[in-house]
Amino acid sequence: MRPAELPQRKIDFGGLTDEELMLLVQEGRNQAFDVLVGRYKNRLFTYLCRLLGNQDEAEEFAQEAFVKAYIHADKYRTIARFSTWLYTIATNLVRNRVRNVKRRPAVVSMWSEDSSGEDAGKWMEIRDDSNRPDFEAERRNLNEMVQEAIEKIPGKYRPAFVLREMDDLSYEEIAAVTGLKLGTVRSRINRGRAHFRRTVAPFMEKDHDTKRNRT
Amino acid sequence: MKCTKAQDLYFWSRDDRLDEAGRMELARHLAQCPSCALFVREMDESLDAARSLPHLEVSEGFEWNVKRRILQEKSKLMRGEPGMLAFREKRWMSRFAFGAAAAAAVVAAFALFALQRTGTFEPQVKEIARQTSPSGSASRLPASDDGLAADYSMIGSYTGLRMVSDNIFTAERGAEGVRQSPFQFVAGSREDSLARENELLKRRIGRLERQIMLLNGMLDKERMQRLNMSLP
Repeated sequence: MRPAELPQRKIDFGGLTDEELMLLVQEGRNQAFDVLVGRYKNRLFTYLCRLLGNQDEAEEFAQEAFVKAYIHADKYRTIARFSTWLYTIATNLVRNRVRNVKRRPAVVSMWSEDSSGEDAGKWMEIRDDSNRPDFEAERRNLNEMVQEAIEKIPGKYRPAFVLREMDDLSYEEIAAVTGLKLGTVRSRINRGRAHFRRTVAPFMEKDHDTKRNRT
Repeated sequence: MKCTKAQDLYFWSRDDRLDEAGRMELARHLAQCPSCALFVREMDESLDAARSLPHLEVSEGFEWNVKRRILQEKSKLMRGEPGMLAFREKRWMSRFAFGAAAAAAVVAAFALFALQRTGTFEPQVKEIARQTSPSGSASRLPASDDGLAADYSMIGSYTGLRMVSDNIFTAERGAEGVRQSPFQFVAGSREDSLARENELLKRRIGRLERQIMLLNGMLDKERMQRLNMSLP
């Protein structure tokens, strides 16, 4: 029986599956959407943090994903899992953002003084590389290092890697989220893993050495 | 077995998609190949480190912000901004739009009626009365302006609704109707008359625009109240 056909009595929203809750959202039961936001807010936020490496931006995208999920709730079909659908929305948001950033590289404007005359200065635009992960700071703790290593995985492989390794999605779910074929999903996960290992392994080795020396 | 094959098997194994025979084959290779063994150890450590990253928590105002943004999006939908389509609100919105339009029309009509009753435009009416004859004929029209005289020759007999300067619709009835008709407001040339007509129309447009703004404000308020009620 569809949730909408249930008698209009007090529903225990917490006991319903995501898909049942979405059907209720489609029927206009907004409380059901509250429950879904509660269930997925931290998971989605963590996923986006891993992808973007910026908490403010991740929170912004997570909010945007939930808003889109609500506004387009009528397009949701129960053949797909809600989590897969939500991740798809979020991944597409990030993909679009990456496309925009690629088109317009980050620049900062600087006033360049010229000694030849009073008004000889000019505005110069230089690339803003302050947030690029390849600008190594000092050695940081393991979590920061791992996060940085995730950011170093090329954008092409990162979503598949994060969805598999951190969110534990199956190949099929990742294919649904990313719109890729199963074989492509698998190869992207593995390539992402290889990139990740290349960054993290030397650090882990140093970490082992330090521990060995202490003992 | 080649190392590339072994590494492939390792990834299958990592994803729990390797059968028992494959596992044994991989184990045999790892026992013999130190570089693959190192690869597997490093990969396991790295990926375990990735999995051990703590789950992050959103800020306190997250859910409130989601609601606020949903409200904003719904407002945009209701204003019919491009690229936005409502889902279940569509039917409700169309009903609401009809109701709002009807209410706006009633309010506008009432406002106009009230303005007419308060005699806001008395000077024009007086001027009309002064310049027209009690019989309502067009005898004072300049003789040279034949076309204009012909236009006004029907005034005495017209009894329908007509767009005039002060009131949107005025029912003209006999001599009284003629006396109040702005089309009799022709002291000088045709240009003079049209200029005055234009002036009156401009004033009316300004007044209606103010009324529309007022009504839009009321509509927005109503929308917000309804949305607040329907929000999650």
